[in-house]
Amino acid sequence: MKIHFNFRKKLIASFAVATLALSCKDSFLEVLPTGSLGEAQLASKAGVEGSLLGAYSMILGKNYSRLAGPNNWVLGSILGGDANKGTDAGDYTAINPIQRYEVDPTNGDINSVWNAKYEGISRCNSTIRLANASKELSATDKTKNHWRSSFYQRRLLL
Amino acid sequence: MNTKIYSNLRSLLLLGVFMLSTLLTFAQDRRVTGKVTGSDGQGIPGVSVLLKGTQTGTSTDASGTFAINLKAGKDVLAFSGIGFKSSEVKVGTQTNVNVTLSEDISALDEIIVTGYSSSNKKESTAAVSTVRAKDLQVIPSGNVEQQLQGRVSGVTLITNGQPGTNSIIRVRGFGALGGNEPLYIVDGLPVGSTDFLSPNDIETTTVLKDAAAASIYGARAANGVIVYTTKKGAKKARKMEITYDGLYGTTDPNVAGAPKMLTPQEQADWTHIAYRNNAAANGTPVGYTHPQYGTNAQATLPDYLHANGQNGVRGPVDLNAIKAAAAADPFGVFLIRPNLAGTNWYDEITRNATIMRHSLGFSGGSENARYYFGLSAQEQAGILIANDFRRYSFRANSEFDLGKKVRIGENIQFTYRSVVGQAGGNNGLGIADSESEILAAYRMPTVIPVFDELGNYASTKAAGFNNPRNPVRRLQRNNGNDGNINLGGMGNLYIEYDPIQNLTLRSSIGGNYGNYYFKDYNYRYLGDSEPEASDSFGEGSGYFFGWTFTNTAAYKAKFGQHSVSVLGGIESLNTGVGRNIGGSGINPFSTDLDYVNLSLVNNPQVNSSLFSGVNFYSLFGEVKYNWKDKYYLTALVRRDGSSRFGANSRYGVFPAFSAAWRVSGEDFMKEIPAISDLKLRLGYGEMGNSNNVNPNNQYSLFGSNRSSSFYPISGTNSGADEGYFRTRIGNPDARWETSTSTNIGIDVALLNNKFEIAIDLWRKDTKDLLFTVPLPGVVGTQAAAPSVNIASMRNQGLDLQLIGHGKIGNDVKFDVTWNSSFLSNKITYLAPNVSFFGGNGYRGISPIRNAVGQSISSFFGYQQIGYFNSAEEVRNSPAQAGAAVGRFKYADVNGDGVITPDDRTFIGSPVPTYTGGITLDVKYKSWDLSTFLYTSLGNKIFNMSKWFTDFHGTFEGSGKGANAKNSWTPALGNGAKAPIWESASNISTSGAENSWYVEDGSYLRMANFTIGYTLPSAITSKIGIKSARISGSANNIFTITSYSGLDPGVGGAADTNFGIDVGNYPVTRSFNFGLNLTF
Repeated sequence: MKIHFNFRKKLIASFAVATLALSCKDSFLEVLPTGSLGEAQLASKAGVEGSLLGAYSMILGKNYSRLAGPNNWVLGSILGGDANKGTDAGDYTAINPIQRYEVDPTNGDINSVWNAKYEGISRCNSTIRLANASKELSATDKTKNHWRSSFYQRRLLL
Repeated sequence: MNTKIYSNLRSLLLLGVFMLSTLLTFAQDRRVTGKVTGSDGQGIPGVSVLLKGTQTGTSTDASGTFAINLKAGKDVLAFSGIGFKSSEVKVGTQTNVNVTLSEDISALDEIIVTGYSSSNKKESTAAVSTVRAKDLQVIPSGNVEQQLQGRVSGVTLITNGQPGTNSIIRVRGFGALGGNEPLYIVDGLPVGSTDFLSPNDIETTTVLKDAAAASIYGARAANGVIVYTTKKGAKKARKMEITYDGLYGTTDPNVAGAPKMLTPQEQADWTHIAYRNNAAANGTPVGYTHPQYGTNAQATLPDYLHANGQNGVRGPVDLNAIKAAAAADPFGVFLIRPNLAGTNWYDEITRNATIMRHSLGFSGGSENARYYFGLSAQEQAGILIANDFRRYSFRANSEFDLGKKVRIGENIQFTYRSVVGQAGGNNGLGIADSESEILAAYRMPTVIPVFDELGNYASTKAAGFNNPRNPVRRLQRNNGNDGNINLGGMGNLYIEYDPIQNLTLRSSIGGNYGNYYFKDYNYRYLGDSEPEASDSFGEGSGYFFGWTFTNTAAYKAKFGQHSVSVLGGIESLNTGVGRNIGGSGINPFSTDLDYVNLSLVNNPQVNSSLFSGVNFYSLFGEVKYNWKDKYYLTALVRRDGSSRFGANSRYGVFPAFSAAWRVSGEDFMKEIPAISDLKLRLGYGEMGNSNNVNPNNQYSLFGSNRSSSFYPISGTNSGADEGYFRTRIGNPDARWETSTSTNIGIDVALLNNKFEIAIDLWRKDTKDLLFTVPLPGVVGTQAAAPSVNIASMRNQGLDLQLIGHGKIGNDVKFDVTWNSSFLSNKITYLAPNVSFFGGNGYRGISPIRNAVGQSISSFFGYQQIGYFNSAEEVRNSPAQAGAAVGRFKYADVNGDGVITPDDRTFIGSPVPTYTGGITLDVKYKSWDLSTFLYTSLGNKIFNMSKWFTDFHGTFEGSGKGANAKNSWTPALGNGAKAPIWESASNISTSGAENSWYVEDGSYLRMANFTIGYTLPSAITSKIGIKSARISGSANNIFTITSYSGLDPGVGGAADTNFGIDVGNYPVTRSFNFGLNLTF
């Protein structure tokens, strides 16, 4: 009986120690993201301005196909007859059917060009949302309207 | 008074008893000698001899003899030796005891270590495999995991020849769309990779395959668990044992096996043939316009490919003028003669690579302590120039008894590891589909020499050869001065306490710290057609630290014929926090290695990142019960909480149940003596996986990125203004992927354990598969779309292990093990209205489609049914863009009379349907011989390297393969190996993914053959060596395959995108000499 009691006491003690040491607070399982910003952090005037710059940067079409760039060398210059692809037929073969007006829907470059444009539009819309939500900006509607017109203009540009 | 007399009396009595007992002891304490032999009559050294019930012990000497003093009332000797069955002998009145130990060959006694507990195979109700430590040592590799290939049924393993590379290791198929790597446990600690382990330190390797075994690891168990334990020594009074295991050898690059290229004259001739074919196709006159091969129909090679700006020079050049020009412009002037014999570029970039590995092990113990120290050094050169692997490790494991109930111990390893010149993403795994320097060796025309007449590297500044770069230069210059260092320490400290008999409480705290540094030099070179104009330099470093805190209680008891064992535990861990920093810049004033640093370069750029890892908090428990060693029941459950998921669905519960029936334990089986053991197993359970989701998936985030969100709004020429954009759309509801596994197994041992068979029929259904459902492009594609629990996948298969032990005559003993794995993998659901998603593109070719009803990473494209053999055939066939004589003819799959992208179909899968390995060990007196064969059947390879070498029009002028000579001609017709030799590029030639690239990747490889000889102990014992063995082995001796590339082992960096061979690094033949000594 005594042994049994001892055993229980020891067991309980051991688990108590372990549980204390480990007592799982929910905060232990909250690990916040690194190297990024929350929406609230962009609510300032500088944040909305920066978001607008992000939208402008999509004019450059970076991180998309080489066809998405602002000079529009394939869909503009090559299709317009101002330029040729250069090198040889076996290099960047996806451009050949575009140049021949034979492009089929599997051509990933076309998709990428549109993706770049829609990303720009998406960034404009996101900026409008940030501006609408921003308490700092709503102080003067004038400013807000200025922003707005700027975004819509940007959307048209794309 | 009375008391005093009583006390005196007591003293007298005590004295008397003491004297009596001493006399008795003297009478009984006698010396017994003897010899321990094996079944072959040879003495066995190092066998531990213990007087049962005491702590008196000794061990046998080199000839197997021993001497021990018996004590009063104790006369049972217990003999135990590694590799032999333990035995007990009652001495009685004998003074000389000779014992024969039988070899322990039954797999039933194999220890199965699950990380939290251990049992043996006899009691296991689950699907579990073990690997002998020796099998991990025979073939040297930079990562011990590669040695599991073919050694474990149910494991698919695809690797490559880079020393220290990662491999595709999949336990029971591909459970998810990514993150399918198994969980690795080393001495109880979860680790991300086992590349630090020295194979000589490993004691046990256990692979937990089904839920009944693996669910104790709950949320991380779905991909199987591979549990390693390292050597520990033993708590026995014996001398320290020192082992030395050394290995030295060389790896041959298999130049003869490299794809054949056109010779210089052939390439010139075939270029002119292409001009004629082009003219015929276009209806234009032939123009021989190549800058090197002359203007006549018969192509000729010039005297100089390039002479300071002039190309295709015929006749002499003014050497002095060129030398003077070179003195004025050392980077820009070249004088390149054609290499008429032809440069074998694969030969030039490879070498006979040496490997050596030296390991020292010190193990020993006393009655209340045990220890193992391991020192290991491995230096392994890759067959590619400037590709080197080095690893030095130190391991110290020990355990001490503090009294009878408490033990403390630790396992720790420090590792230096360096891998230089490794290519391919995911630590080398992505080499197969990268445009590596091995591909560059095929792209470089044979006519170009490695060096020009001025001693510079020669390359494609000579016009007409398109844009390949000299791979010898790239490797020697751009990798030659590179370096990297990985320093790490991992281990744990634990305490065990037995408050009552049979109950053990254990607390373990473990950590894993890693630190790396790298430097990267690349040098300006203007001799390519697309020159690398700058010297560049980069360096960086980082660290990570992860920890694991585990507390368990284990109780084992036997009540009559009922055995129960209970395990409960709490675990919390962090997978690793850390930081990285790296910088780069170009054009330091001098490239002197003593000069260059990041402060002295132009355009310096620095980047850094930090990460917080993932926290887990888990509770787990296991109950095992068996009655009469006949009926076994196991139930286990684990509840995991992980920071990888949002608060809505952070916890997951993973239960598993299994049962086994030892049929051979029943009375009715006693009458069938041929069956020594028969056990039926049944297991069912759930396992989780969360690898395939970014820990930030739960958050909607914004961020900035220099390359994609900065814009120079103020119009400056340098720099740009910071902009922000939405980087991630969050899904706070994402939760675990759940794999439901069912396993039916039979273990049979026949004819006194001569044959052993283990069969497991299994199915693993993964539901709630995390899939990044592609968002419509109009939403914007830069913000990472959230992973949602929507897809499902089914893996099913059969694992089979056959083991045979036998004898031929009295002297020859052999063991055969045959592991087989049959696997079927199928995506069963993706998302509403999503029936597939693609993979990477390769030069306009997109060969991968992951689709419902197909295996992961299936190949998708046009079905090539031959070539257009005549203009009439072109006219009479379904309309096909770019169709012309000699080009690919595709099947009209949907029968609409026109070849469109809708006619593409599934043309193969890289998932092998069968993988297997056979190990044969033979022993003849002091000789031992072993061999290992591995096979992979039913997998296809998309041989993308043919795109570069087998079309004239792809990078026209660059190096082309010998298949040109088998390109389409009217005579060859559909027997041609490539389409007509011409420049055109469209979907009928080089512009589309089709079945012409797909080859059978099945192969059989003799992976190892070893002969060893153990020197007679009579000789070695004279110089203090207990045992000495020398061995020689050959690895990867031959490969039987129909695959035309270098190596049919074609992996890839992602499970949704593998089996594509662009420039794979082959596994090639190697020869080693080995020495094993025990002191």
